[in-house]
Amino acid sequence: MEVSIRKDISRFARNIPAHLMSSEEKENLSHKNFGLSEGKFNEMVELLIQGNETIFEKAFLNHFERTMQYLVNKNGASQEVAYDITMNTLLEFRKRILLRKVSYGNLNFLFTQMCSQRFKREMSKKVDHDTYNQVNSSEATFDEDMFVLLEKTMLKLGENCQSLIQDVYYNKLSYKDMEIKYDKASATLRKQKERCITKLKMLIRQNLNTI
Amino acid sequence: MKNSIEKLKSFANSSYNSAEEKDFMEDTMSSYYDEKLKKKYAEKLALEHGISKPTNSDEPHKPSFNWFRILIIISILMALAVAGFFLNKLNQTDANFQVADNIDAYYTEIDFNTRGELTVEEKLNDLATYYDQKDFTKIATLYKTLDLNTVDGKYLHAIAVSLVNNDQLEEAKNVWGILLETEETRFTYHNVARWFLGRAIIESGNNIEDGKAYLLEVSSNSKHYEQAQKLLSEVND
Repeated sequence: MEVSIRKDISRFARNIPAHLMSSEEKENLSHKNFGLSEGKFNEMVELLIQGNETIFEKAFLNHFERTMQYLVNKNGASQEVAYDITMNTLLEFRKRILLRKVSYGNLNFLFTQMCSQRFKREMSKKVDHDTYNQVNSSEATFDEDMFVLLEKTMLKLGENCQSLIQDVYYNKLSYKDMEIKYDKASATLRKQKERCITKLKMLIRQNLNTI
Repeated sequence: MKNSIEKLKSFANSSYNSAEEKDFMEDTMSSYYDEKLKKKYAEKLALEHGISKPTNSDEPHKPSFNWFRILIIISILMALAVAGFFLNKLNQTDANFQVADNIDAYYTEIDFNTRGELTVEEKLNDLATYYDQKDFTKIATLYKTLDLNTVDGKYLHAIAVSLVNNDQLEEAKNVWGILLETEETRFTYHNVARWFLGRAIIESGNNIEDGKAYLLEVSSNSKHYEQAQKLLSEVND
C-alpha cells in the first residue's frame, strides 16, 4: 500500500514537461523566464557552475528594478526594504540554480513569489517597517571590520584556493561538478581544500598579529 | 570588532575538520561571500542600471508618514473586524478550512509517552478532539504517529494545512496527494485538496503546469472554483 502511495505521490513532483513543447511554445516561454530561452537558461546554469556569471547577472540585474516595484506595489514594501529583499532573494536564487534546484518554466513568477514570501516572512517577524529596518540593518549587515579583514586575507590566499573554498562552502557545488570544473579527481580536490584551509588559518593568524 | 577577532582567533587555532572550523566556514565565510556578492551586484546595479539602494528618507510620503500609518492601522483593524465577522459566519457552516488556512500553527514537541502507548482508536479520537478545538499545532504533531490511510478526508486536509503553516510544504503536498486517492469517504474533499494542492505547487514554483492542472480539475460546483479560476488567470498572466 505504502509503495503504491509513494508511486502516486511522485506524480505530483514531476517537472514541467518543457521537452514536450514545440519550439514555438518554448520561444513563448522566454518572456516568463527573464528573457531566457530554455537553451540559454541551461547554458547559464553550466556557466554559473564554472564561475562565469555573465548571463546570470545580465538576466537578473535587468529585472531587479521591476521586482522591487512589484514588492512596493503589490506588498506595500518601502523602496529600501524592497531593495534588500530583492537582493537577498537574488542570492538565494543563485544558490538554488547552482544546486540545480530551479527548473525552466516560469522563472519570473518563481522569483517574485520567493521575494513576496521572504517579505511576508520578514514582516511577520517584525512589528512594522521601522522595526524591520532597525532589526534588518543590524542582522543583515556583515560586520564591516570582519569583511575588511577577510578580504585582505583572501587576496593573499591565491585564486585557486579562493575559488575552491567558495565552491565547497558557499556555492555548495557537488564534487561531481567540481571534478569537471577543476579537471581533478575529488580525492585531489579534498586534499587541496585541506591545504587551502590550513593556509587560510595561517594567514588569519598573521593578520591578527599585525592588528 | 572584539567579537570578530575572537571568531577569527578561534578559527585560526582550530584543528582541521573541527566544529569551530565548520562553523566558521559555513557561517562567517558564507556571510562574507553574501556581502561580497551584494557589493558586486550593488555596484553593477548602480553603474549599469542607475539603481542605488534607496533609503527611507527617499520615500515620497515621508512628511505625512505618521498620519498615513494611523490611517492604515485603522483600516486594517476595520478590515480585521469585518473579516472576523465573516469568518465566524463561515465557521458555522463550513468545515473550518478558512480558519485552518490562516491559523498560526507551529510545531511543538508533545510527549505522547506521558499518556502511555495510545491505540490507533485513541489517536484518532485525539485527532478529532484537536480538530474540534482547532488545535493545529497538536494535529501537526499527532499526524506523525498515524497511518494516514486510516484518516478521514477532513482531518487529512487539516493535517496538510497545519504542515503548510509549519513550512513543511513538501509533506503537505504528499498528504493532499493521499487525500486525492479515490476512496468514497474522502471524495467530498477532493475539490478542496485539488485547490490547495494546485496552489501549493504553484507557490513552490517549480511545477507550475502540474499546479495548474489541479486547479483546472476543481469542479465548477465547488466553492473553491472561483478562487481556482482567479489564481489560474493570475498565473497565465
